Amino acid sequence: MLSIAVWFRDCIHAVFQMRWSTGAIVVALAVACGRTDLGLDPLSSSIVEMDAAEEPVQPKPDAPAVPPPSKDAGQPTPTCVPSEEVCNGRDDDCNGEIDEVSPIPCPGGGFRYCVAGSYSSCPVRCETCMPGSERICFMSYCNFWGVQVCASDGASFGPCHEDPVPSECRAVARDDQYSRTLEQCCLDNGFCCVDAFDLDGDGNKSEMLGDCQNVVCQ
Amino acid sequence: MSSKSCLPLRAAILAVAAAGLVLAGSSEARADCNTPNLLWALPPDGATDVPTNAELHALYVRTAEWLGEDVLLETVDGTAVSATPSFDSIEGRLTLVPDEPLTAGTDYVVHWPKLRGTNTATLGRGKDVAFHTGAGPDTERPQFEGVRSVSWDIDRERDECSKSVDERYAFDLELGAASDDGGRDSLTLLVFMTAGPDVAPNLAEPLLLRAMPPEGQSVRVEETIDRGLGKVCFAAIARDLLLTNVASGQSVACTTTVKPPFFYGCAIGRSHTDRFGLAALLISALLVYARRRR
Repeated sequence: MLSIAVWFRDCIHAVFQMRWSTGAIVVALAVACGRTDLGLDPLSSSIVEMDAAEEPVQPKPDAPAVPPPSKDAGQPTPTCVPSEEVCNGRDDDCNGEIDEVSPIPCPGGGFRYCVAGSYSSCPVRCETCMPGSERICFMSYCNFWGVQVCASDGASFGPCHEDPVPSECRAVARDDQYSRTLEQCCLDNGFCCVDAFDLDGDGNKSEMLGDCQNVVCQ
Repeated sequence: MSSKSCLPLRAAILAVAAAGLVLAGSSEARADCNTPNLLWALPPDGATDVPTNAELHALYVRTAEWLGEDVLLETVDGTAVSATPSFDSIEGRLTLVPDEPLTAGTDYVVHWPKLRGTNTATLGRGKDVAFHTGAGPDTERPQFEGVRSVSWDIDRERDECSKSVDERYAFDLELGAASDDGGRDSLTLLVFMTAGPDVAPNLAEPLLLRAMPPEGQSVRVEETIDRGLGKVCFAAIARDLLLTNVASGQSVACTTTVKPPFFYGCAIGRSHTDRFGLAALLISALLVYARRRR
């Protein structure tokens, strides 16, 4: 224990006696709490606090102050004039509860809920693509034909992995390689294909064309 | 045949075998991707005091499809109970509504079926769920304090479907107290993003739907870098077995994220853990000390 204490004493003593540049590095490490974007100017003041959990905020900044639920739930406050309860972040019917309104069914399924003073959007089954689905992508080398698989959270496609060219398009891949013709062959044979050559002329080369019923979010 | 001439043959056999194992493993892994398993049953297995007007729900993976498979409800002695099933493909929710109110103080079993899913040939898991009814119906809305706080980090995991390492913001939400006259364990938690790069003003986006976690346990939601960068806010509501009874989400918690890669600084004096920052400081001090001793 005494040797450990002596070691710590020497360590601290060394820290205080070191050169100012080394000391500045250590001090910088000590005070640079949180996560700093490496792309930012290191002298920038926009260092973000870690775990920046802010206090729960009022649902709508421009909404009038919402009185907290009274302990005497059901007893109207002196200044509250009862009206029909709607989704607005206020206790309209003066019963001590805020926004106790029913959800609204969505046409495709799910509901819209009153959240933070306004109704939410209808839920969707996925964000970008159906999890586990596949689409054909094109490469400028090797087979010129690849497959992208949708991530399990439906939020993105994975990278384009080379895949054997199906027999229907093998000749096209051999003769025309990475080309509009190859993409057209992909579409003609019932695949879901990345519109790498903008065959539909809309300027979007990241969309999917073809039989993408099981790939796109529904 | 000499041992030297066998070496290329042995190497070739080993390479083929290894390739076969890899292919078998990868195809098996692809087949397991997004298997349409049942995730949560509401009420859960073993629930007591289930309201007599309860609707029964099973939450499956969202790629699950209900093709009319039988959903059986019966008493413990095997007497079938008439009920009407329906499926919400958006929520992945199979619902069974008894045609008559359940009998109070009775044990029931519901047999949730195995379902098929899109983009997979694998049959998912079902479940047999037993529950006991209480004395009467559910008449009150649930009570829920919503999201108390949020912390974030970057998650880099190899995705089971795409086999690529995907970066996602991981937001851990600490939840407030929840209760309901139909039982806390039968509540559904719905989490929303109320502010973010792609969120329209006053139009919260649904992010997560699951069974309410045990008290004190946080929940995690993940977002792509594009959708989770900058100031993001979250709220949550609780829904009971009747679907239309919800506790509105008034409490909103916000945080601000930084685009990766980023540098973890040292967190001296903070109550939150930052072992990487503290380790960096200690290593720096040791290096200085060692340099001085030299």
